[in-house]
Amino acid sequence: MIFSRQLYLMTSLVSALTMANAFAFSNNSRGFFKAKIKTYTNDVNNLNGQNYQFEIENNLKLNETYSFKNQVRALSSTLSDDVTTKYKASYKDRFRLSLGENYFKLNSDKFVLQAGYQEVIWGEAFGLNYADFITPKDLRETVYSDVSETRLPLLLINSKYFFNLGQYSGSLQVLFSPEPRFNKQLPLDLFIGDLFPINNIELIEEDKKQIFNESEYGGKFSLSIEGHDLSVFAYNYFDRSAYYTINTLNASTLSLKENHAPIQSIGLSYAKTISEFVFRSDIVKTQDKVINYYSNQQLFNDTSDVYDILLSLDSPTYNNYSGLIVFGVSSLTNTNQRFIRDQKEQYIITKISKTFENEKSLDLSFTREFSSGGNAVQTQFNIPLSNTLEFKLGGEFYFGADNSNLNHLKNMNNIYFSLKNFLQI
Amino acid sequence: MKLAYIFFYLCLLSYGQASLAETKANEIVKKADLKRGLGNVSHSFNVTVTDQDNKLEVFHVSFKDVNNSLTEQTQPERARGRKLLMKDYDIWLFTPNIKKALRISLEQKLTGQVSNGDIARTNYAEDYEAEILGNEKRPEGEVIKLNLLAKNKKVTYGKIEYTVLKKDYAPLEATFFAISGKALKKAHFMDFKQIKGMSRATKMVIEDFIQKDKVSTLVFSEHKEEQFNESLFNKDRLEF
Repeated sequence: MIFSRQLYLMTSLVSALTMANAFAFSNNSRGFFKAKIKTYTNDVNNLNGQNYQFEIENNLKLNETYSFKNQVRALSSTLSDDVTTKYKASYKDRFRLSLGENYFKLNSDKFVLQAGYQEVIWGEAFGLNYADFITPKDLRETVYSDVSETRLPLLLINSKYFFNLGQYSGSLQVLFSPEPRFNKQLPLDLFIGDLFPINNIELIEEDKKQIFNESEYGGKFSLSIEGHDLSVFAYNYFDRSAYYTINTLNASTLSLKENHAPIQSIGLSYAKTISEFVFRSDIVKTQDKVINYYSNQQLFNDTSDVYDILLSLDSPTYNNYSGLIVFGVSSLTNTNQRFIRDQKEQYIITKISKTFENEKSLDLSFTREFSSGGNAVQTQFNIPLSNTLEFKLGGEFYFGADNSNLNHLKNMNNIYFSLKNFLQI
Repeated sequence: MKLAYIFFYLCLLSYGQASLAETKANEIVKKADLKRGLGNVSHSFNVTVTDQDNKLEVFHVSFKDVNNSLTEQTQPERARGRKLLMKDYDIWLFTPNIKKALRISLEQKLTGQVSNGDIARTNYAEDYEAEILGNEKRPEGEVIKLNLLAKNKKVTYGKIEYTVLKKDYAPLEATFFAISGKALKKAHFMDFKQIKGMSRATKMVIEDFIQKDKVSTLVFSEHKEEQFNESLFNKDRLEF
C-alpha cells in the first residue's frame, strides 16, 4: 500500500514534468537535498543522530491566470531511535515519503484562489508562533530546524481578495479544509515518562481525520495603514497538539491513544516600525482546549480557554550585529493545579546575530522559561559555500528545573552540522 | 519708514534668492535622478550585484512609482524567491522558507554594502532637500556639488553629498551619511548608455568606508516600461 502510494507520487511528478516540457508552458523545477549529522551530548542510546531530507518541486504556469505546484518530499531520521528508550520500534517513524505542497492556483488582479495541499502561515512574530496554527508541523526537530522543513501541508481551499484604497491596503482571506491534520510530536516519554514507571510506551496516533468527515474553516482580515500592519482572524479547527487517553496500562506497557479536540481560535497580529526597530505582537484566544492532568497513575482531561500573548522587538543592524527580544505568555483560565502544563507559562527569548563577510553569520539565542525555571541555549554558524550549497554548524542545550518544559528536552542536547544543496533542474 | 520698507524689501529679496537657489538645487537633483533610471514612470529592470570576491546576486525590480516597488531575487539559487516590497516608507521582506511578509526597517542591508533603499528607492529628489555647495573643475568637466538632507527620518540616509556634471546633470558620485552624521559609503556612477532616448548610468560602484576593502558593483539593465496592477504592491500578495 505504502509503495503503491510512493509510486503514484513519483509517477504524478514525472508526468507533470513531461507534460510541461511537451507543451512548453512556463515551467521550472527545483529542490534541495539536506544531510544533518548530530552528536547527542546526553547520549541515552549511544547513537549519532542522522537526518536526511530531499524535496523536489515543479512549478507549471499555464498562463498569467492558471498555474500548478507539485512537490514531493522524503525524510529519513533516526531521531526517535536517538532520544527515547521507551518507544517500540514500530512507533519510531524513521522514513517518510510524502506529498508536499500540491495545488492549483487561480491568479487574477484582485483575487487569488489556491486549492490543494498547501502551507498557510499567520502571525507577525517569531519564536513562539502562537498565531501560526493553521499548518501542522513536524515538531520532532526543534528550534533550529528550518521552519520550511517542518511544515506539513494541509488540504485547503485558500482564497484571498486584495484591496487598495489610497493609503489603506489590505486583504480578506477565507480558508476551508475538509481534512484536518496534526502536529508530529517528540516521543511522549520525554514529557510524561517520569509519571509512569513503565519500560514501554505505545502510541495509537490519530494521524488525520477522514477526508470530508470533519472540516475546518475560518478567515483573516488584514489592513496596512500609515506604518501599521493589523490582522484579525478566527479559525474553527481541530487542535494541532494532542491530548491522550489511556488505552491499556499493565506492568510493562502503557498504551496511549492520541486525540485532537475541536477548538476555535480568535486573535490579532500587529507590526509597526518604530524608528529603526520593528515591534511585533500576536494575541490569540483559544476556546475549549483539552488538556491532560495526572492523578493516581491515570490520565484525565479537562477543558480550558487559553490566552497567548507574544510581544517582540527586532533591533536594526549596528556594525553587523542585530538583536531580537521576545516575551511570550500562555495562560489557562481553568485553575486545575494537576494539569500536566503550568497554568501560566512565561518565556523570554533573546537572540543576537552577527554577520561576517561572504554572508557568513552567527546566531546565539537564550530562552528562559520563568514559570518553571527551564532554559535553552542555541547557537548556529551559517556558512554559504557556493551559490547552491549551505553549511551549518551548531548546538542546542536544554537545562533547568526538573519539571520545566525545556528541561524535558534534555535528551535532545546536541552538536550538529548540516549541508544543504539547492538544486535547479 | 523708508528704511523699514528698504529692510523689508532686502529681506524678501534675500529669501527669494535663497528659495530660488533651493529650487534650482532640487531641479538639478530631479534631472540627475533621470540619469540613473527611467524616473517616476512605471517600469521594470534587472540589477546584478557583484562584490570584491565576484559573488553574484541578481534582482528583478518592478517599479510602479517612487512609492511602490517590488524587488525579487533570482540568483543565487539558495536565495531565489526572496521578495522586498516598498510602499511609501514601509518595507516588507518575504522569504520562501518563512512564507509570510515581514515588516523590516529601511536601513537593513539587502546584500553586502547595498541597502534596500539603494535598489528600490533611488529617486533622491523625492526624499532629500538639496542645496548647492559650489562648483568645481574635474577631469570630467565642471561639476556641481550638492548637499542633500533627508526630509524625514524614514529615508535610507541622513545626508548625501552628491556630485553631478554641470553640462547635463549626469551624476558622478555620492557619499552617504547615517542620521548620526557618520560617513557610510561612497558610490560612483558610470557606464552611461542611451536608454529610452536619454543617456543614463547603468553601473554603480559602492565603496564601504567602514570595511575599506569591501566593494559592491550594481549593474542596471533591461529597463522596460511596464504597467502593473496596484495589488502587486499589496504586502498580503507576497506569499502568492
